[in-house]
Amino acid sequence: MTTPDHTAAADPRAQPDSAPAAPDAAGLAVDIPFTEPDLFRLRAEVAAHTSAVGDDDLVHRVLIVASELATNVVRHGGGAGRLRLWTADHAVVVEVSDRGDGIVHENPGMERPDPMSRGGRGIWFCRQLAEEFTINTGPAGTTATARFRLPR
Amino acid sequence: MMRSDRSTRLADIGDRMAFATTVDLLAAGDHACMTFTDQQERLDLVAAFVRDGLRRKERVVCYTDAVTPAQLAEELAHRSVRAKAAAARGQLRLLAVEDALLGDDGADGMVNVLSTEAKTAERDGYPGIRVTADMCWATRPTAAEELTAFETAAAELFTAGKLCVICQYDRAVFDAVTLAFATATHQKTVAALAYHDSATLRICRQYSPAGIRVAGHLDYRQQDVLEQALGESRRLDRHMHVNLSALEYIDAACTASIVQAAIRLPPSRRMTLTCQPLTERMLALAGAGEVPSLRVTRAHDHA
Repeated sequence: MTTPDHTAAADPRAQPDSAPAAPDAAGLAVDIPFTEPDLFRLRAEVAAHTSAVGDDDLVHRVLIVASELATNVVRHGGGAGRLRLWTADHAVVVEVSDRGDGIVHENPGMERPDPMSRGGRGIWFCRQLAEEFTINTGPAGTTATARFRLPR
Repeated sequence: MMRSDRSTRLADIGDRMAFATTVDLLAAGDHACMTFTDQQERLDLVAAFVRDGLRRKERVVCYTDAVTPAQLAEELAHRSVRAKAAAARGQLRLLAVEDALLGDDGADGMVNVLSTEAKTAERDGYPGIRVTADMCWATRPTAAEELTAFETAAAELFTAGKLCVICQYDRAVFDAVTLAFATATHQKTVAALAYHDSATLRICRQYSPAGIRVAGHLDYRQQDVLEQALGESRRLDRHMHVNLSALEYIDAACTASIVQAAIRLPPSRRMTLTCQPLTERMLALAGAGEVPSLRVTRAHDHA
């Protein structure tokens, strides 16, 4: 199955933001296109690969972030996306991208959500769990990148 | 017994249907079959059965196999049953199946055991007696016939209206045909009320302590069912117990549903929640720490 091309808007390497660049295909631990039925498998793969490089705490953090980003894609980002995970510079990096309509808020997930609010807490959760989090969004799609430091 | 008689009886049984009910609705005169795969659910249902019997001042007798009588007492205590006090005053008896049968095994042995217990309870002044037993003693090539013989002979014991029995069948131990016979030879079947039951997720009612139990992986796709289960617990249970000890994964949406259910409780009511570390983390992110009516404890493994 051929992976879809990324448009400039969704390609982190074209952005002025400091999202880590993904290695070529051979350096990727995980590279999964996904839709809703793939969420269970996606979580299992993310957890399996992360447990090889980190402890339970890291596995939980990476798993939660990967899953919330993927869920956002499925529910709000057009339904189909791509998850890539790799290690570089003593860190685990998770990148989730889609070709949906983009997020309306310029800087989503910066404010703590009201506990009684119905939705819209996934990105805030991600920002609490990853050491670095960047999100590039526009009318051609969204790419979110989370970086988790590995202990030396 | 003539072979043809036994064959005829087995054929008749295939047409019977047992009536499905829940453990909290069982009463004297009921003879129920419980099939289970999950040991925690079995213990929950047994705990509820024991607790209800003790409250009604009945004698309660449990024949256990998978756990020792001492372990069963611990498990009951963890589930809000005052097992040790009840055992001390003789109202609750916890026995190992093999000890009870003492070599007099098979259907006749179990019927004699039941009959003796019923007479003893009456002599000791109890208004009724509840018995529950792990039916593992019947796992032999002729299990279906043994169970049929047992259930038929035991039926007579119920006519006095003082005996209530749950027979427990472990799906890991009995084959499907035998389980079908077990279900058909009982007047009623008992299982936990399940709101959702799939390979990756089970959401069901918990009876002791009362609330809900969720096991597996939970995300936004079952958020509605989760909220239905929480809503029912809110209606039925003064203090809600949310057992997430076997929940491996939960997403932000479902975590919020649980926290919101706790926030909505009136000040006199509580939600006690047991969970694994990932869930604990999700709850903290969702603001559980600021909800006075919500108490979160980490799950510990039981035997």
